[in-house]
Order: sequence, then structure tokens, then C-alpha cells
Amino acid sequence: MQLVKMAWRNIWRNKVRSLAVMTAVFLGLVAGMYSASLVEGIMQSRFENFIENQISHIQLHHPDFIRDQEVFLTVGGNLDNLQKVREIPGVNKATIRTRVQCMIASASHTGGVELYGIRPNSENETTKFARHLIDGDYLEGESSNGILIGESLAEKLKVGVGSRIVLSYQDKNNDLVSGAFIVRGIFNSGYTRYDEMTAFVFQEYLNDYLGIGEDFHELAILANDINDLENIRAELHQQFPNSVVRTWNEIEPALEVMVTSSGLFSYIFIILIMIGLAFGLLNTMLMAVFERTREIGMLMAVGMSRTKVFILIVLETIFLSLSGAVIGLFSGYLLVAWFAKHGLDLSTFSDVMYELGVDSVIYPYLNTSFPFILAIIVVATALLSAIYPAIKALSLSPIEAIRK
Amino acid sequence: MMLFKLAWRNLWRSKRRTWITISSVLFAVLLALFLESMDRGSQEVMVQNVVRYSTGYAQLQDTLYFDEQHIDNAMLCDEDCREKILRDFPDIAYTVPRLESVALAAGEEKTRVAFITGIDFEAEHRFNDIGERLREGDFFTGGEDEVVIGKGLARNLDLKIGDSLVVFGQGFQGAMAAGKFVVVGLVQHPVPDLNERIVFMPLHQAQWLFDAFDRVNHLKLVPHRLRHHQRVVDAINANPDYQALQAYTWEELQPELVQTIEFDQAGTLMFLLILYVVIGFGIFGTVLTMTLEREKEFGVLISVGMQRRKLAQVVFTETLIMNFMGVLLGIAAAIPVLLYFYYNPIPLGEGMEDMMAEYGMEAVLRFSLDPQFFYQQAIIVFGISMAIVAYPVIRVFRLDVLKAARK
Repeated sequence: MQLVKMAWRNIWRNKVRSLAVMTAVFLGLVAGMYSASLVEGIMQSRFENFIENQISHIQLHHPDFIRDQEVFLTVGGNLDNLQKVREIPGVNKATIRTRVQCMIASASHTGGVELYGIRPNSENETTKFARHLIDGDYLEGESSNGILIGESLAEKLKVGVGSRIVLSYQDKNNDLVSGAFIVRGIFNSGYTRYDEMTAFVFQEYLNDYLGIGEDFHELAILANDINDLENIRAELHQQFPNSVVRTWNEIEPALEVMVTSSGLFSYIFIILIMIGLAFGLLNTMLMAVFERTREIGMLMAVGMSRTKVFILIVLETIFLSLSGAVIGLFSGYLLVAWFAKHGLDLSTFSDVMYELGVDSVIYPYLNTSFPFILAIIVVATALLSAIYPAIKALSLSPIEAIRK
Repeated sequence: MMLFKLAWRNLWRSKRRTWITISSVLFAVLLALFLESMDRGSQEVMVQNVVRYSTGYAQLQDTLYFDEQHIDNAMLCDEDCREKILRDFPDIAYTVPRLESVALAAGEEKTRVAFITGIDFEAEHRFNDIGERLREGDFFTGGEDEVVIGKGLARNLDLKIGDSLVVFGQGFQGAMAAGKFVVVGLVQHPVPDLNERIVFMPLHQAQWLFDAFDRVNHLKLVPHRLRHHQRVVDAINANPDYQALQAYTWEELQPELVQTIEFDQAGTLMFLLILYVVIGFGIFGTVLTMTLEREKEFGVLISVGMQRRKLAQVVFTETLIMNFMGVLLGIAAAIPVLLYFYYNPIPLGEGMEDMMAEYGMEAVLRFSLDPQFFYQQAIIVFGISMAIVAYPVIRVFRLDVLKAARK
């Protein structure tokens, strides 16, 4: 106890220096926590947007469709079925699509696209697609030969809203059929390549051409809770025995790579900050020990044991770092919590953010265990950086030290 | 000179203190370089991955092609023209021609939209090692009407080596393009979308198919040193012989990639700033201790008649020397560390390798050795430490001589 008191007082003998170290620890922690949570927030936003706007949580196909993409590889279905899917507990939104590869041609250009036959209302509920429209209208009302194409494709085809374009594709018997469509709307999803390769038409209309009745190729489901997908999968298997159900990580494994690698970067960064802090701490304590050579020698000479001197130096280092750390962790937590509630507006980068599929307002996200892990790392760092100066203090010879 | 001598001697009067200060600067440089190298490394990999299989570092096109990327705007460029470019612009190591267009490709029963690409295999392979991605067969055996197709496309069309593939589409300026080819090789293209669509054929054969003799959509220009791509592009665009053509850098061809990199750099800048603050305070701690320790000495010097200005100059010179040594030693220490990580990049974790390999990437965090950021970071850290040095200098001017000397 005596030692604790002594260590605490020793720290405050040189206020400016101690405050400098504490500020470094404080700022390092606050900023480290904040930036890590920001990176995490961006990843979360990207992750959620990618799932909610593009792939959905769950997709269901004919077992061979993913590989072969043949028109006849459909899953039997009608509106009743979609209603039944929606009634599965945990399902938020669901939509069905018909998919076919086709050639798209205008007077000036021919290219390949992936044609989606959609149910406009449920599609928009599931992927909020209508918000990407920049010209014309979303598919609405009665089924017709309206088509939505991407901006970059429209430029290539040199067509606008109201233009007529011709699509050719194979029907379910692999016969080549062609049909004329009228451009209803033009979209820009932020992904140029996607815009160039994708077009949307009414599912009913397309199904007639393909001769597949009310069947579909793809069922996409947005769940209420991303952790509750297995139940839905089981239910779907019952309703559609001849099908394969995939969850988001099976559909897009790259998404997991993205999440992991960004986590790794934050991790390395925190370690770098800690090394920086540890070194500042180590240097300061080393100097403090050398500065007090005489004093420490005197303490030993009047009978303080080496163990106690060692503990004293270690305690000083820990106090020095912990007082900054406690305030730092607490303020960092508050800062993150405030921004997590109000969001950080990064509209300056809105173009890139759109491209990356990130909202322009970021809500930093911090794993609840993170501050605790950080606290443990700080203590470990402090202990490590205390050892060397403490050993240096021990190696002083009392007699020589006093004589200085 | 006198000043320098005095400062130098002062430094080595208290070796320990000097080394501690130098080491804190050294460490700051080391950490900043480490972070920057990691960030640059991942950017370089990103650019390399994207650019290698898409636009190339620099590209020569017909002036109309940029706005309308269609085979109708293919430029006239034969072997002689490619050789002339190499002669005219010695910075260019080689050129990679491509003639490409979308067409329908059909197997026995099925039809797919395919991306027909005429290549000069040697140049293409030299640029992006496409030959390494061959999984079955050969990249052309020298026979007639041969194609190498993506594995995904082969699967979709039920094609094996030796089967025939029929291509049907539009050629140069409305000509009909139709032909029957033999599949001689299957390639696992790292871009998943292309893997499902790509059909490679020798350039002359594609020119025949599309009725576009001696024409290419674009010519990738590969400079001897990749960093010089801007210089190459500027040189071509300034040359009157090439007025009908226009050269572009990958930055112009892929603005999205540039934006992504800028965003990434903004993030790293934030990280760097935090790191600067942390290491700045670390250096401050040592400088502060050093100053306090020497207050008595300063006090005595001033009271025996040394001008404060002179003393400040000595202290400034001392710290200048220390910072300079710290930065130089920091770079010297960083080189082996970064070299190590350059050759032994940090793995991204188990289970990623296979999947990343599918995309033609390695599951590692790469480091960069671009000399540019070395001096950038060195200058920044030097600047920070010099700013901190203002403290002892100010201290010398404000020192209460009596109190200090009595300590």
C-alpha cells in the first residue's frame, strides 16, 4: 500500500511529463477506438446494403440452375406459393424472378445481357430497386413489353425512354425467339458493369415468351434476422423439395473475405498504435529512472529492497498508462456511442460510397467486447514497457548512484 | 561550426539520453513507414489485379473509341505499326493488341452470349500470365480455327476439348460474323464474369471473323517501368503522327478505381494522423524530460554570460542532429523490416487461399517498397519532431535563471 501511494505521488512530481504521456494514451485510445469503429461501421453498411439491395439473405433455385442457367431449369410456382413463403416465420420480404441470357439489339449496337423477369412490386419491396431509376418510370401496372435498362447500356445502344429494342433468347426448348420491348426506364445502380449487363422486364410477359407458365428461376428472401436463416432454409426445403437453398455467404463468399480482411487491417492498426504508445511509455520511464538515479540509490541505501524498487517502477508505469487509458476508453466509448446514434456524414465521398455500396452517413459500430480487449492490451503493453526501466533501476549500484 | 561542435559534444556527454531521444524518432519513422507500406501495398495489388485483366496501364485507341467502345471504332494497326510505336517511344517495352466484340456462341444445343477476344498470345501472356490460367489443352496448337474458352462457358455450353463452337454476331461496320471453331483449350479466367463468357482466338483469326483486317479495338502499352505510364501517354498524345489515335492512362479509363483508391487513402490518412499524434506525444515526453534534466545546466550557462539566443541555437542544433539521425536510422531500420514483409506478406487467414486464387489473387496483405513514400513519411516525422523541439528552445528563452541554477 505504501508503494502504491509512493508510485502515485511520484507520477505527479512531474506533472507536464505525466500529462503528456497520459494524453498520448488517451488520444491513442480514443482515436483508435473511433477509427476502428468507423471502419467496422463502413463494413457493416456495405455488408448490409449488399445483402439488402442485391443478393438478399436467401436465394432458392433449381439444383442445376446455378451451374447451367438453362431456361427449363425452373422451380414450379405461382402467386399462392409466394404467399406461402411470406408466411414462413422470420421471412420479411420475398420475390421471384425469371432469368435468361439474351442478346439485346438496337439499330446501332448488339450486346449480351442477363434479362430478369420480375414482379415489380415484390421486387421493389425486396431490393428497393426503383430508387436506382434516373429516367422514365419503374415497371408499373399491367404486364406489358416495357423494359428497364442500365444507363451505360442505353448509351451503347443509343436509346432512350420510349425506344424500341429487340431481345433474342432461347426458350425452354432451346429454340431461338426474339421479341420487341419498349424502354420504360433507365437505371444507374452505381455499378457500371452491372448496368451494362442487366435488364428487367415483367415476369408474366417474359414467361409467356419462354413458355414456362408461372414457374420461376430464382426466389429471393429478405429475412428479419440474419442469424435466423436455418429455420427458413428448412421450411423452404419442405415447400420446394426439388430445389437448392443458399444463404448469403454461400451466394457471395467474397463478402466474407471482405469482412475478414478489413477486420485484420484494424487489428494491425491497433497493434501499431499500441507499439507506438509502448515505446513512448518505455522511453519516458527510462528517462524518469535515469533522472532519479540518485534518489533510487538513496532508497536502496536506506534499506528498500530491490523487489520493492522494481514494483515501484512497474506501478508508476501502470498508473501512468492506466489513468490515461481509463479516461480514454470511457471517452472513446461515449464518442462512438454518440456517432453510432447520430451518424457521421461522409457525403464528401458520396460518389465512392455509392460505388462501394455504402450509405453516405456512417454509423460507427463497436463490438461490445472491444473496449475490454483494448483495456487488456493496454495493461499488457504497460507491463511490458515497465519491465525494462524497472530492470535498469535494479541494476543501479546504490553506492555509485548516491555519489553522482 | 562552433555551434555544431558544441552541440555535438553536448549530445555525447549524455549518451543514454541522446540515444533514447533518437530511438523515439527512429521508432516513429519505422511505424509510419510500416503503416504506409501496408496501405500502398494493398493498393498496388488492387490496381495490378484490376488493370491486368482489364484496361492495362496505358491504352492506345481510335479517337472515337473512348466514347463508343464498339468494334466499329476499331483502329488500324498491323505488325508494322506496333513496331513503329516501339521505335518512336523507347519507354514502351511492348504492346498488347486486342480485337474484341460480343457475339452469340453456340455448342451442340445451347447458346450463350460470349465475349470474343482476338489476342496475340505471346504479348498477352507476357502482360498478364494468361497462359498460367490454362487448365486443359493448349493455348493454340497452330492449327486452323482454334479457340480457347473460359471453363465457365465450356460448362454452360457442355463443351470439351475437341468439340466445335459456332460463333455468330456482328463484325466490323455491320459485316456479318459467323464461324465454326475447335475448342483446343480451357482457361480459368480470374474474373468470374469473364470466365462464363470469354472466347480467346488468335488475333488474325478474329480479324478474319469480324472482317476487320489489320484492326484492333485497342493496344495496351506496357512501359518498361510501370510507373512511367503517364509519360508514355503524354508522349503519344503530343506526337502529330498519332493524331488519329488517343492514348489513355488507366486512371482515365477506370475512374471508379481511382475513386476507390482515393477513399482508401483518406482512410489511411486518418490512421496516419492518429499514429502521428501518438508518436508525437511519445517524442514530446522524452524531449520534455531531457529539457527538465538540463534546466540547471541552462541556468548556470546563462548566468555565466552565455546569450540566450546562442544557447537556444545550440539546443536547436542538438535536436536537429538527433532528429536527423533518428529519421535516417528509422529508414535504415525500416528497410529490412519492410523487405521481410515484402517477401513474406501477412496471410489473410486460413481457408481464404482457395477462394482468392479463384479470383486470381493471393490471400495475403502485401507491402510496398515504393521509394516515394519513404521520403514523404521521413519528412513528415522529421517535421513533427522539429515542431516538438520548439519546446526546449522556448524554455531556454523563458528560463528563470536564479531558480534554475539553484536546483
